[in-house]
Amino acid sequence: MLPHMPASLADIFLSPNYLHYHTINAGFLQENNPATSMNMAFFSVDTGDFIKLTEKCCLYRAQLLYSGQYSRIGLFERIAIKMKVILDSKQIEQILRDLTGSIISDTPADLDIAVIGIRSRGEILAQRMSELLSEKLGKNIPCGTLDITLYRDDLNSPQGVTQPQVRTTEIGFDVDDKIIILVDDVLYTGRSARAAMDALIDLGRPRAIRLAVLIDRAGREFPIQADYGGYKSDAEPGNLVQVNLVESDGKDEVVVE
Amino acid sequence: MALIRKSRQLKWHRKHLLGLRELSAEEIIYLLDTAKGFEQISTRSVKKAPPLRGKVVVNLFFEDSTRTRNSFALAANRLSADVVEFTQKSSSVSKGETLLDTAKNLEAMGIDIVVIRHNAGGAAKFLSRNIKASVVNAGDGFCEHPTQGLLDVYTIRRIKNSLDGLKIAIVGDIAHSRVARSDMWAMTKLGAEVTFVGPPTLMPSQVSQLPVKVSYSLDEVIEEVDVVNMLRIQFERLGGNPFPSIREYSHYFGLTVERMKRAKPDILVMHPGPINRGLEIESEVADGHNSVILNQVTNGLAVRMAVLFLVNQASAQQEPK
Repeated sequence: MLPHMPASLADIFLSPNYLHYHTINAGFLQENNPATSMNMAFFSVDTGDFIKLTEKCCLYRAQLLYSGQYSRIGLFERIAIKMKVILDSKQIEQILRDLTGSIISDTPADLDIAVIGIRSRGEILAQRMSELLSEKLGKNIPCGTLDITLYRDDLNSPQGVTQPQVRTTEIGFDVDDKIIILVDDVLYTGRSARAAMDALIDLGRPRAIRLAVLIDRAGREFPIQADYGGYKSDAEPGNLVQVNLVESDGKDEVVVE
Repeated sequence: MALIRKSRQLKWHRKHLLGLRELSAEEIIYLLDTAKGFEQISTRSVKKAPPLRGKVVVNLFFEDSTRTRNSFALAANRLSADVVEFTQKSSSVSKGETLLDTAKNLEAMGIDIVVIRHNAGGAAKFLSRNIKASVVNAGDGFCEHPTQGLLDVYTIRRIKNSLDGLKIAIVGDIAHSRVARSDMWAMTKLGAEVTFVGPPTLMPSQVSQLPVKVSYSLDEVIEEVDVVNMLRIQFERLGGNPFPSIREYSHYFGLTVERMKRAKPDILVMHPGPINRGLEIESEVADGHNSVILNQVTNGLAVRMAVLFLVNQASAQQEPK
């Protein structure tokens, strides 16, 4: 059993750190795409460390209840889930190399390429891909970050257990007439990609937008496909496919329920 | 990196923004961080994003205002909301309609957010208790002007990174200033030390109960402060003779080039506008390189977009499923 982990609802509510636990957990929920299932981590108040439960091959599913403006009452439903590693760091690196290789062979040499990642895992992958592309092409391939919160299609739906934090879009170059490689970690329903395309064309008129993803998962809800798809996953709807990266999670790996 | 995310781990649950007194430091910081994401909308080629598409924002202004009203209207437009302008002079209020009746009638037309400015303190709160729409306070009496307080701390934070430990002087007509009050709440919650500076006749009567220091001399504090916020002398609110003459006020409390020579070289000069040039602030100072007065206006837009976005989000999530 992990240290500092609340054992029951009563432990959470009676703990003087209850609010602390709660807001931390709620925050973790926000970080994730609501389309994939929810992911959470407990926070150790004593050591100040996050304990990622996925590392211990079990995961807890959380449900938050909000009623009225004062309610900050959370209900945690504990369901242990076995996680399976489907890609390790070597395989992730190989996929990124393959993706950048295909991008280069598809794109005429006289056209400008730029890489834009969708927050937050896509941002890291985009950074890695722009480095690989720069290295292979011998010129600097610019890299930017897109926050799609304002373009999401579930902003006004009351079902949202997640409240997305608006963050900055950082694209320090002109997107006009460039081949934009849009990067995300997982392509699932296609809703994020739709939002990202709308956000992108508000910034200018790219020559083309191509979609590159590490995990191409079944379950599309929109008519959107990846131009460059890495690992194909047929995980059941509702199951979690989680991409962990060194920069954000301490380790490169992809795990599924 | 996981630990950095800690500061973002808060959920905004307020459907109304009535004042900064009731907000926690965490909520203020969440709001300011959110505002950062809205800045770039104003600098790109398509200055519009869709999160309030199909929503209606009413600008319900019972007092004159150019800056705040336009800023809210532009903020709402940039988030794709429809804006209804309502000013006292061109409305049925001049025919004797009460605030509540006016608001109920607007509500019957299906509005989502009311931005209200009123000369009575508590007007925004009153409205929030009586209508279903979200209410954003754009100034009520001498009580609060929360978005001005937020844009002021946003401006300071953007340049100085943090307000923790900063010394800030708010100078002028404190008694009639809702800006001074909202500033005070936001700044002190974020860790700054605030001094109210002005003639005794323009200090609020219960000033000793507020979390601020008080000084009756600008010369006394000018050397040690990191930020000076010059308030406008509001001739329309001044009753009696709070100071003998404009020249005398300007001599003791005006921010002059002479006084600026004694200030820290990186002092930030702020002013909520509109400026009385040559009265509370000399033109050369207002236009000088320490001045962030126009940054305040630009930042105001991002902050107001963030406020409209967040109250609408909270309201969407509180609707019965």
